[in-house]
Amino acid sequence: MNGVSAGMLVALVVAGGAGAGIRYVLDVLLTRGRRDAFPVGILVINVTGSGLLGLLTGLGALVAPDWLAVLGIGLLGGYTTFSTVSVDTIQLMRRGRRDWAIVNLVGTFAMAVIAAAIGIVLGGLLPG
Amino acid sequence: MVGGCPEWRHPPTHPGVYGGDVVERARISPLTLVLVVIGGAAGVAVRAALTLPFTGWTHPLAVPALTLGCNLLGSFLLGIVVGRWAVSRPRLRAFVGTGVLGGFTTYSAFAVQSIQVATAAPIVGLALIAISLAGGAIAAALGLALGIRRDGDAA
Repeated sequence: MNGVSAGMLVALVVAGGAGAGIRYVLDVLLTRGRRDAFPVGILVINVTGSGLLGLLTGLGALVAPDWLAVLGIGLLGGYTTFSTVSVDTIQLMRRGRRDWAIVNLVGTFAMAVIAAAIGIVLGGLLPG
Repeated sequence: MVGGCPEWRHPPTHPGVYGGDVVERARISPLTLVLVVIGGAAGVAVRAALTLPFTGWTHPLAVPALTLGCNLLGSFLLGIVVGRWAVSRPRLRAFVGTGVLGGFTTYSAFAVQSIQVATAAPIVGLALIAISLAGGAIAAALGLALGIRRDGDAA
């Protein structure tokens, strides 16, 4: 697989588990089991994760390929989630919150892309 | 059980909590955390196994297409998991849903690849974004309908 080492694969998988664990803890802390709440935890997670992956991408050659895989595919891939946004969107619609559903689907994407773009620009500013 | 409450993500640890007027803070369960970490590692491993062989590929759409595939499949499967187990099997739902499928799907790669593809080819980029967002929602709706129906059959 393009010369990737076994050690890197193990680190990538461990980082993925860590990312998922951080997501779970942060989501519980941010959402706090509130009723009638917008799923703000997953929104914050996906926007921050997209910004950080943008930063890694913007840094380009400053980040070794192995580290890009471990942090990008592993840690941030495990940390952020797409499936939860899709399911929450439908659940919000089923509960009569069509407005929140659209904000959740489109707003998450808009904010994640803006964060990723800022990250890419910031990463590119650092001296290579 | 009315409103936008996220109990489908954090099922009540004490049955009936959400049925009353008491607002209880969702608590972090150490066992659930372990299950999510193990599941997340497994989900990331599957996505990496699918994606890594193509990272050196010449076609610029190879990896975005794989990300799209993982995200649509993951949305469909999470719909089934939530529809079927959110209330009845909260720990299984956390392991498979929050862990495996949360790790299998990714928003950060979707966001960054959307920028990259849209920069190189705006029309293709917009199509990728539209298919991802609408497709994910449709896949989740299908999965939820399937999961809830099967749960009803089983009950």
